[in-house]
Amino acid sequence: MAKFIHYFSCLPILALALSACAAGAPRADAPKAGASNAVEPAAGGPSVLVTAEMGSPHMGELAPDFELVDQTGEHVRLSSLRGSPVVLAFVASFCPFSAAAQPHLASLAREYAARGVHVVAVDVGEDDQAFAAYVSRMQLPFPVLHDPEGATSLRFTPANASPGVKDRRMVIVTSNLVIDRDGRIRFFTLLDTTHFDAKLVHVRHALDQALQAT
Amino acid sequence: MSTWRSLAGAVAVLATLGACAGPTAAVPAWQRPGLGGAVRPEMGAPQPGSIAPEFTLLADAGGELRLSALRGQWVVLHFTASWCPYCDSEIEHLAEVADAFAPRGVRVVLLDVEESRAAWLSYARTHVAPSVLSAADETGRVARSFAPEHAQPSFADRAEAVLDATLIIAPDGRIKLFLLPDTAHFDPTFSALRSELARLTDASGHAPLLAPEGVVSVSFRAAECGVRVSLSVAPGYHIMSDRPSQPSFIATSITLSSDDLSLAPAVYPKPVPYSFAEQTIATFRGQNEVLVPCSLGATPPIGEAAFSATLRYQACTDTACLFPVTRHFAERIQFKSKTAELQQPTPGEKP
Repeated sequence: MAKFIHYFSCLPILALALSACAAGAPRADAPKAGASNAVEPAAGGPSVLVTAEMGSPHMGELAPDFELVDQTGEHVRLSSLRGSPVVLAFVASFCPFSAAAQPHLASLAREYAARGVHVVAVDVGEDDQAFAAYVSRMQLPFPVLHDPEGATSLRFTPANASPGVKDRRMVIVTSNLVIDRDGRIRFFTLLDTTHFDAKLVHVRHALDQALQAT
Repeated sequence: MSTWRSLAGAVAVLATLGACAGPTAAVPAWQRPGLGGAVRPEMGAPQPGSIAPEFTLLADAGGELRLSALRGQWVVLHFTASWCPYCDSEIEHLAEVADAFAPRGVRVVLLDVEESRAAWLSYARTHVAPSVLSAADETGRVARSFAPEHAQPSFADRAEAVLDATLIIAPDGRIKLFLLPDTAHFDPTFSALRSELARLTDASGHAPLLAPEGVVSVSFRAAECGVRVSLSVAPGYHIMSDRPSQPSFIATSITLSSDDLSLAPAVYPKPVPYSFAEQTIATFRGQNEVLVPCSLGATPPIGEAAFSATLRYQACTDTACLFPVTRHFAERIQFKSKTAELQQPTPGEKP
């Protein structure tokens, strides 16, 4: 009998205790419905800003210059846009985050055109066929530049950004930069999936600031 | 039985304290290190605590990959795509998770979202380790069933909302952890997931206990003449055998009754000895096959047969025991012919 008690002395009830515990755990620190960071971007600003610790280029530095061909066959050189603020967006046809932001990038381009803002997208690492299909499907109202090997995109990828991503060209996909009239990077974010800013709220904010700083 | 009740009462208070202690109970998952992608309640269903949506897909290795067939085991479910750079960086580490946690009864399942099976297979051939169960969700139907209603609200294609998501599903089929990708804290080695998995599958008493009903997963299939009952006991648990070592222990028993079938009493597998405190008792652990054969002289059935089943058992881990439970099932199975036993794929096994 002693052995029997020993075995069962650690007995049942745990299951009951457990269910009570799970249901009753206080959730004081849980965000209120509607205040979710996951639904709207964080009020305090984007969390993945490219700062000096990530390597170059970062905010405050001059943007690397490049020349690529857009969907109409025009050559576009970044430095030729000096004098106007530029929104530079790295995109890829396959990326759902990139796709979700496209309509908002298009409306941003339309709204800010009158204020002299240029929006330029770079399609990262896609072959001719994928690029052609992408630009004809999206019909974006700004130049979409073709970077088939991703070489230009790589020059914009800070060495220490998202070190876990093996294909370094892809770190930059869905990044947005605001470049001021002097060619300096004023704002640079990488993709943050948990605070995804599809509506480009933060880009608009940075752009407004760049426009004010005449 | 009076001993049972008094002990139960005495232990209840201590057990309550013990079960609720620990830093993880009150802190929401997304506030813990490395779990920033955990789904939030306001994202809607499915949420941790709910049963993971069922799916059946064509397994890359052949046969079918059915989630419910993995009941009784812990499952790490990951959604991937060959073109997704984050997923691609993680895929080799998924194999490490599969290998490291196999001894704890964990299976890793990889589902490819919305690619043609051919495109997926050409990628999977070189990227998916044999220890990982994989399948193509070509239409994205499965991915959509997992996508919390309000996660990534800007995504028109709801399947993409769970791309690169990772879930831990308990042996009772419930979601324990549901992580959406967190690119701001991207860790392709799954280290936070690993610590969660280690904690959850720790049967030494630190892990939350399963509900008694969740300890044994049950499936029925046709035998040549009779019914085979699979009892899959969750890793770290045992149940008493059909002939337990002490008269007061609860025997595992399964009884079937049917108007369509004439059945004899169940034939149980050999028990597994379990030793504690200088004694050894007869238990069942892991995968067990019980045969409920036709009565002597009965004609082998053909076509569909309906039956009801009652299963009773009492489960323990090394440190705690659960209340006995009696579960009822109403089933229909197909008997093909006299000789051909209805073949169903063995859960989780690649040929």
